[in-house]
Amino acid sequence: MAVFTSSIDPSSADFQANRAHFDTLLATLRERIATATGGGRDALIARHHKRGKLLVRDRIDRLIDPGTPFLELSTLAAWGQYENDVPGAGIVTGIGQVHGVPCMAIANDATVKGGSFFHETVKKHVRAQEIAEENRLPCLYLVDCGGAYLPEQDRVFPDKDHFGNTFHRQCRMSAAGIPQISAVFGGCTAGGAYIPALSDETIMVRGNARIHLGGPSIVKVAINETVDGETLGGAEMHTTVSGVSDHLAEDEPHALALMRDIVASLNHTPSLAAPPKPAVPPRYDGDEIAGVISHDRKIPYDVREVIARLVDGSEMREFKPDWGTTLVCVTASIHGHPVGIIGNNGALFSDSSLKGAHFISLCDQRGIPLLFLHNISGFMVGTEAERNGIAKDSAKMVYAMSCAQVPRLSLIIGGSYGAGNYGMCGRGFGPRFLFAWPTAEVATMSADIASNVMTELRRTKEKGAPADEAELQAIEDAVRKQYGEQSDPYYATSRLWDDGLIEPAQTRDVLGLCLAVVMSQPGPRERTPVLRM
Amino acid sequence: MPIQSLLIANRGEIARRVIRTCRAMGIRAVAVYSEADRDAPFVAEADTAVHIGASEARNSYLNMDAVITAARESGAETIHPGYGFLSENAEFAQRCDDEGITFIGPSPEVIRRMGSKIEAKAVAEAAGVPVIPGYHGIDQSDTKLSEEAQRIGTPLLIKASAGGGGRGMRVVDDLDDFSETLQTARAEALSAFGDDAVLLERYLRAPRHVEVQLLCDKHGHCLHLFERDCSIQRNHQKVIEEAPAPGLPDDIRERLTSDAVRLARSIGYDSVGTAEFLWEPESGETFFLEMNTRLQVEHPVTEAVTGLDLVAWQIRVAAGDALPMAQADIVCHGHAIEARIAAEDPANGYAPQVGTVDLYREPDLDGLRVDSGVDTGSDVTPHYDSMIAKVIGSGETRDAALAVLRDGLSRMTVSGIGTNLEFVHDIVGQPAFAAARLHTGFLSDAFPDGWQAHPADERLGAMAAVLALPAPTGGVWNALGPWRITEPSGRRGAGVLYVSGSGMEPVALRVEGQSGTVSVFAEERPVWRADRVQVSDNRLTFREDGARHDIGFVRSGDLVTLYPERGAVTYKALPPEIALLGRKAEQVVADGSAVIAPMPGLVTEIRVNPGDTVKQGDVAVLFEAMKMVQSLAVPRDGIVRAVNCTAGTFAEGRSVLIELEE
Repeated sequence: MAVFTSSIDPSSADFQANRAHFDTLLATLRERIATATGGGRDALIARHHKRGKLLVRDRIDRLIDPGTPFLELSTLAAWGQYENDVPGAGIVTGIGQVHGVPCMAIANDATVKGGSFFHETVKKHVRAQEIAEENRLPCLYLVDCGGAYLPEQDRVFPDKDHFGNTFHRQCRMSAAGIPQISAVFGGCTAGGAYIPALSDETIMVRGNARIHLGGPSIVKVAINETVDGETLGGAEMHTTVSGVSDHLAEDEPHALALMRDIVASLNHTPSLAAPPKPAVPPRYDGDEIAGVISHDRKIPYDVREVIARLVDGSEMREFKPDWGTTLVCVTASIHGHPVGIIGNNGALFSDSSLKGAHFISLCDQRGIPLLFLHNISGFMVGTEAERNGIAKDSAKMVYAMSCAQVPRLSLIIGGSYGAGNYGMCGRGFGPRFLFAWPTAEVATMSADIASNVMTELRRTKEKGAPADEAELQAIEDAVRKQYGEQSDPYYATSRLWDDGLIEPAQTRDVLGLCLAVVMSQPGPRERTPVLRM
Repeated sequence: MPIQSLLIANRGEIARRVIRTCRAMGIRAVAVYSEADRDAPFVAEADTAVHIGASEARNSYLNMDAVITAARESGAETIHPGYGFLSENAEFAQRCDDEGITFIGPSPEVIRRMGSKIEAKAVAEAAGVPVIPGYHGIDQSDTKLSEEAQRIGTPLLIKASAGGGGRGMRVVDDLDDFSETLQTARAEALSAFGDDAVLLERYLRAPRHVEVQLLCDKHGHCLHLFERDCSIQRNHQKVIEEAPAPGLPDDIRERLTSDAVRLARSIGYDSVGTAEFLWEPESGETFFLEMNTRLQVEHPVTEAVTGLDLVAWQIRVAAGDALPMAQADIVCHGHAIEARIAAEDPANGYAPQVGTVDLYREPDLDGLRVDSGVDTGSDVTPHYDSMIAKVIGSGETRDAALAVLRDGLSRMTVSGIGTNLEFVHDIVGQPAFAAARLHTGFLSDAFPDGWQAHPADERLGAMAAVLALPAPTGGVWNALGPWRITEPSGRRGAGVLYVSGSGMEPVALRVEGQSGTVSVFAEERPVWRADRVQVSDNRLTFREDGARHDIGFVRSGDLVTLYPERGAVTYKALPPEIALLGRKAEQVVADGSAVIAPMPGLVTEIRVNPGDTVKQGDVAVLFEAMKMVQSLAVPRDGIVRAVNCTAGTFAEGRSVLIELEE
């Protein structure tokens, strides 16, 4: 494979301007993650510690193998919603190793609304379970939650992918031999009670952990019995009397040690895929990506400059470099794992769509996982494109991408609009992981185009009075505002449209961690001929 | 006729040492091995290996018939006895002669005469070599010995007549204790040498042990290869040896070497041997101690300063070669210091340690020689001596040799079993050692309350925790270390390990980072913070408070030994489940109603019977393991309920030997 020769000059004015712009984006991202993952709740944290409780991320630090990574997902879930009062949606999810076994940790943050479930909490919990199921990762539930957040119950409880679905998944995974282990650190009432109750093995912490279907107040109302929480559902009672819990932990560190010990004896064989080749750092520093990405979306840049800063040795082998050039297709390695990368250098035409479909089918045939780097305004429009059959050619890429059996990863590095989002394996197509940069924008189209389309529709509307300029301006403002807000990457990540916002300089490591996970379950290998397009 | 095939009637490091010279001389090396040594490195390295019996030395390495049969059947016309075992056994040397096998060593007659301490001293006196006042008589009655003890006075040393290497030696400070100590010394002598005769002599308080290496041939040539200082001894066993003896005045050197040569000549000595002396620097007096008619453990330091291969010369003179060089040709150049590495617990009466070496690694440094008997996977059994390796540093000067030795020791890894590595590293790091203020009481001066592991402190414990984290290698999930997505936002990855050390109870240390900037906390309290932390090749380097630090370390399993300036200190760093879930097992061990075998070994005597009323501290069982007799006392007052062992049988480690009534 050839080493890519960069034509970027880090001392150039363009680079510096790009970098300065990106640095403000990164500063915002860091500040928001810092807020969401800890800061600002000192009084609550102090109360939590006073009860002998550890903070949720401290629990995770003690749970996973010391000195190993933890790939936390969707740190900014619920960002900007509920008056920004539900940081991280009150739950931490992510992948870490316990005794070398990759596991999915699903941990309530009781310092956030008592760990109760909001809409995004459920969504984040379900998404973590989905990742666990796809990759056969044992689920370790660190339970400290008060059940559904009642004022939001219509967005948490009834629908098919709401709270009930988490339990359905727990049952299904257990049946599929994916271990489900719970450690209970606080009160688990009602729905919360079923997380430990539906686990294969359960630990409770003396003094703090409670499990009851109805808490003391509900018991009082329902059957007029007066009872305290410890008697009703304390750790000691459940471990020595009811048998709801299997292990009584003296304190939180003890509970986490017990959980590690359980994982050590799971006899669960799937483990992380070993890289077929040793990892080699890129020749070009990943940190330079901030200066590669144009600060103005209208100024194009070569996506190969981004790829060169993500892949081992900055080495890549390009497929059809001289045909369908608006789609870049390369094979390379990240942290020693081979990967087929598809990136955009402009809109998708018929030829670039066919090239994409061909490349996807090559990678599928060869067992090489796919990585889509989204920076796409859409498929080409216009008479020429339509006459060339862009609708059926773009569909071929969507077919190939949808049906590829190798694991697919997506990374939104810029715009991801309309059908372009489909062709590039957007959220709807179920990539095994999907991350985004703070430059991401996901929408049907950009705010510019949307406002034009909407004002044009009003202008050409046949019924009613003709539009005056003020009304058109009002429409334009409203559409721009809506699209501006909704294509903001924080809007997207808040709603779990991705698995998290990450920095360009972290991206190689995130992708490497993901590849090692997904390649432990590489998918079936039912071959079909490579269909040349 | 040159020797073609040589059987080594020994094991461990010395067997490997002899094999090395055999290779160099084109001689076929035949090893013999016991059941316990089936997989030992020396067995694999020999050209041929013959199984000669069960693990107990008396059934294998001390079994003359088996050794001689092995030599005959393997076609070895020569036997090298190494040290210990049959090396100074006149009967064995005679058997070899009778069988037409060349025994590498002096004649049976010389071995017999020098092997008896009583006779050796008579020989020395006859040759005009001064000896220490004492009683070396045949009359071994309690009355006679007691009389003689009174005559010689205290401090008084009781030694096994047939002994060597410190076994069967006891010091009496108060004559009231004489009878009790005599019985113990006799029992040890009998068990170790099959002969309970002892000798008494005056004990010198601050002498130096200086010994002269001799090399003689069968043609009347007798040379000395200068001297060694072996003053640093524990329980009368050498720990650190060096050549030449630092600060030895020329006239004393001259006297010792000429005394040694004269003594050797007077008995027609014709092999490699060592004459041991005590030198009292203050009085300038020197006394002959004993002669070892074999290769010494510490021969490598002499090899380093003379450039001679002592095993090769031993073989040549045994084959009848005449020494081609004259005394003037032997030059002592540079300096060498040896440390003996033993599987023993120096903080606990040098109790032998047994088990499997899960990781053995020796450093490869200029000027460093390591002679070892073990490798990764080797078992250290209770059947033989606890020494497993020798580390020898050499250089142009004593300081240079010492620097190499210290560096070498700090890079040795022996994990899975306890060793004295920290202890010897501590000895050679003593200012008094650097200043060569040596004497046989060095260790009790340096460690008046006995050696203890350096007290652990949290700062060093924090470093140990960092070092105990897995090395960031392999796949991305390990290579990234404690990686977190939140790191640029200020929340770093951390791991918690439970760290304990000597005098430091286990504490949960939270380690943030692994290289670069590292912070360690106990709960919320900062314990250590450093920048530019780097871990490579057994060195930890970092900046702390503006100063640059560089500390050697060795990690073996859960144990991390650090080598800061003030001396080595070992920490145990455990993951939470090991630290927190192991509580119950420890309680069982702490039970005080039984006498428990401290390790696998032989029950030699049982002093209690069921129903006996015993007091705390009463000796219930004499127990022998790794050539050490231990008195096992009852842990509290009580009545003996059961005796679960039989004298003369082997007991498993941790087995309950004696039970007391509840």
